[in-house]
Amino acid sequence: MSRWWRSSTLEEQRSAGARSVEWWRMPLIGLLVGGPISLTTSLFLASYGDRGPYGGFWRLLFAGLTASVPIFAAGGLFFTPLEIWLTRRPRHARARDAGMLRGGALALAGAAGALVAYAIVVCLLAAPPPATLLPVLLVTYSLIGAIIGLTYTLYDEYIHQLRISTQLTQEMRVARSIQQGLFPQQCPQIEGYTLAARCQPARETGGDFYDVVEFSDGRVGMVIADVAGKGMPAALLMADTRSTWRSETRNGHGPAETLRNINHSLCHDINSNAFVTLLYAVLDPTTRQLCVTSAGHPLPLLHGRKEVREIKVYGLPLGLRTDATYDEVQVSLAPGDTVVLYTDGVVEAMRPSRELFGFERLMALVQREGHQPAQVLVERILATVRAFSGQISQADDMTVLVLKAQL
Amino acid sequence: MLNKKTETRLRRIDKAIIIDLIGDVTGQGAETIKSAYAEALQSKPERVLFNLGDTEYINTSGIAILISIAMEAENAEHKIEFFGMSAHYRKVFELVRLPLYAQMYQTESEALDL
Repeated sequence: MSRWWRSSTLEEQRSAGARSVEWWRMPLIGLLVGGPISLTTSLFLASYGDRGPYGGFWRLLFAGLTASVPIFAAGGLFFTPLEIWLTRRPRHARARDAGMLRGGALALAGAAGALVAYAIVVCLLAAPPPATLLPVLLVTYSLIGAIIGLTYTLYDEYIHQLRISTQLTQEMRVARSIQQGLFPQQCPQIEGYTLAARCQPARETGGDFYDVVEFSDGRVGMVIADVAGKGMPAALLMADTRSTWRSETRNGHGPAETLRNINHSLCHDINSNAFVTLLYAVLDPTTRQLCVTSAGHPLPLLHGRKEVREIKVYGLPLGLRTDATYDEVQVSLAPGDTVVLYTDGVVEAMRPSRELFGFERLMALVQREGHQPAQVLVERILATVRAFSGQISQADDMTVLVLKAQL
Repeated sequence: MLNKKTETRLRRIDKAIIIDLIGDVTGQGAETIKSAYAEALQSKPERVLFNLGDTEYINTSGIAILISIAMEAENAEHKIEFFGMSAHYRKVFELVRLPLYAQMYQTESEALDL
């Protein structure tokens, strides 16, 4: 049940009838019509003042202003039902109708004002007015009326759109804050390892995420994922995927089985033009084994003592087929080894010339900087990609997670 | 970064129809690409090939569209084919297992020389 004190939602504001007609709008419109009419009438009378029976500039000015008062009232009365009717129109039709109706109605009001002004002139002047006076007054006042009507409608729409835009911005800020809360506040301390990660969304909210869970037997699970798309739709799917992953990790299955279950669940949530790429790795610190499984995610990089290589693990992205299965790859981590997980926003960052950062540049960068501490390496990768893109705005979310086995 | 509009052009070569994908393949081009594919199927060609030689950029949503078309084709018991993609996107296609549902070739002549 709706309550009068309940604040309206954005959708309600967008829909018909959400805006009320403020009482001051009608007199304002009347004033906007009557003002120019009053002013031009008075000036006209003032210029012919010496020949009129009443004489004197101030007296004529007063007469002109007084004569336009009924026009103000008529204007207000005329527009009140019109404005009420407009608020009941569907949102998409309101601006068009308002422009035509306010413009047309004010043109009519202007024409009425012209007749009043002409009548005053005829009454006050001793000599007959010029023959062109009435058509000139009619055209001028009608045009002024139409222009005021259209201008007011544009202003009204501008204010309305501004309100929506402000509210959307506020909502996006809240959404960003909520999404930031879904990321680990800090990576867990793992004996013999360091872990660091950062996500840099392209917009207020993004579709990338990473997360880390610690199992009771000392193993640590880490995930990095990328939802197809950007902005709010991707953020919603990201939250869904993260929560499904978190829930599935509690079941005690291996990474491949966990991915199979997540995929099965997401297939019901994802439409045909979307998917999620996800890489899930479980580290056993005691055996130094890293078990990796992937759902269409970019291959993780392993920086060993001599070279950088890709950990070859493939799989169908999540959300495409309910019967998808996944493989596991076991990697033994030697002291000093570094594993780099990343999303495609890193390798698909572009220069203004549309050249991609690419897999080779990333491998070369990890080869060069892989000896750095985990946090430094994360920041260096993101900074290098930003420098590569130059002034071009970030097209996709970028996330990097680094796991380093201490020497 | 502003994406370029996705444009398509259909060519018939013998019993094959080639769909040239020009510009960027992104989520915004979904309807364009799907319409082109539907149009290609109307003449019941033996093969439908997507030319990615003039494609500059494919984002994740674009890949999702291509996969969904490939899977839809497989469900209808025929395979679509791709050629002309850069080494980068060939690698991306392999990551998402697109070759399971579609045939890949380097060039148009390699694709047609069967």
